Amino acid sequence: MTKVTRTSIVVALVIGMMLGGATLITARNNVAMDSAHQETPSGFLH
Amino acid sequence: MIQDLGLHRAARRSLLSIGVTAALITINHLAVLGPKAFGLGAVLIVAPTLLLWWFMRTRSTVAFGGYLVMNLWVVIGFGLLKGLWKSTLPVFVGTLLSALATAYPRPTLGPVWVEVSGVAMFIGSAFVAAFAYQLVRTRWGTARASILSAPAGVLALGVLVAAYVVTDRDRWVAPSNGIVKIGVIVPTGGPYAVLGNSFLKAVQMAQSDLRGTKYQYQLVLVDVGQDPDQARAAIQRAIQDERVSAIVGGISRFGQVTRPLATQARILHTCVCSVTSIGDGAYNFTNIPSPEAEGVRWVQEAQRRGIRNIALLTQDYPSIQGHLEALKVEVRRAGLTITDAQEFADSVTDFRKMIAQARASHPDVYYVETLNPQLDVLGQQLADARIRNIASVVAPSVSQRPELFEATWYTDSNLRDFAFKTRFEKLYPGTQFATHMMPYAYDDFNMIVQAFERGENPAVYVRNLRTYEGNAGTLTKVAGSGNFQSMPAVWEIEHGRPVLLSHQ
Repeated sequence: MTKVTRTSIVVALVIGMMLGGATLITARNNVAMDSAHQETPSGFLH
Repeated sequence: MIQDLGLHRAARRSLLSIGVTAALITINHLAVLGPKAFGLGAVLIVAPTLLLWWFMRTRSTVAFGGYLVMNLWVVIGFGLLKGLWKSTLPVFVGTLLSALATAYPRPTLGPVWVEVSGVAMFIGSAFVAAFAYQLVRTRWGTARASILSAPAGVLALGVLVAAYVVTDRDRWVAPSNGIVKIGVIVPTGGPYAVLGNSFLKAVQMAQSDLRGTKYQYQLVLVDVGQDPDQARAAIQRAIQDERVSAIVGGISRFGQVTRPLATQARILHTCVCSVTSIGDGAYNFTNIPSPEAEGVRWVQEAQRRGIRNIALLTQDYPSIQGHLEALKVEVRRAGLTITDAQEFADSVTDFRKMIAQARASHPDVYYVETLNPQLDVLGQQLADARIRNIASVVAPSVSQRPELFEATWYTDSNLRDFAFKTRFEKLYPGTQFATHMMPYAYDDFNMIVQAFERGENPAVYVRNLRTYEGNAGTLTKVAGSGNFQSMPAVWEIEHGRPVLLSHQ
């Protein structure tokens, strides 16, 4: 394996991890902060 | 000749990286710009392509300079300022910091595709920078083209991460001149009159109850009208011009408008709102019993009274449907029976057929929930039909004619000390006491005061709270949550007045 190939694989892995990690973290954050859906007021006109 | 080949190769790579990154920028900006994002993408692809074509044909310095300016725009404007600072750092560093310390807010992130395209935009811009550097070296030097030195890149990234860590932290700032301005955001007219005025008076009472405080607390009353869309400008004025340090608010539709503005200004916003998503646990917190808690308490009381069969007479309205859904879950869980369920529109004024149908199902109790003026019309017709076994959630507390609901029991907010209600009514004789609003407003104001008196950033102080001994009993909040929970109590109309029957 040449140095260029090795570097390319490492860069591809880093990019994949960043995008995959961002997907997971954002999805979990949005569930926790419950901002993905709109509710209607459920109290008495609250 | 060899240098020309190298220049062509470097130019191709550079242009390809710009094209891919421009596509990512277009995707990322669809959320904000809509179809106009395609125009932005077209500019980012066509302009560099033409400039590079011009340069490759003529070796024009102007064309090359223009091309590099376009690269800088992509790298700094979109890659660093937007991709790195607004997506990559909040997603990774912001999330990590908020997990480690409550002084850091949980980042407010957009939809997954927006944040991921933001991160991709940053990665793409790194390639744009690297290939532009390679092109410059090939253009001006005979030296071997290479990518940017890795240590320099890591150092620059480290500086940016450090800057983010410093700026993301919520710090205590002592109020200037010892005056704390607290914005009060609640509608007080139209359908919100009873709740809104209860809220406002509760906050004013809390302010006048303060004794021997370190700072002076000023209320900034924000006239938000009755339309949430028009309220935005008034709330923005309060934040920017009046420079309020925190906000107490009520009514979900207005809390939903306030939430992003409070987050942007990084100030605490407490809201007596039933829409739980308003409470993000970062800067926004809700404080009201949930419909589920009302349902649990209602069914407990029904079982205590030996009730097995229930007839439902309810208005078709979102707030009421929320209560009803939670109630039905608890009714099923407890093995009770709904003998009849009728829902009506807000135009109905003659309930006699409905009452007759419900009566025919032989219920132990009639569950009645509707807004005024229908509430009192229905109450009158139930009284005419000599029906007295009525129960509800909250509704009778806002009746203008509570005598119609004599002996009706219902769940509503708890009161630690009933004298609190009496004191309120003496102070504001013309204001109807909305139990479902007032104690929470009072407590929300005092939470903010406590934070300042302790010398803590208000948002951080509330993030750290797990329990609060409030006027509506003990409030609880789980770590990371933006919703204070509390258990309602059972009330009954006696001699035309609401009486607190039980504590939790």
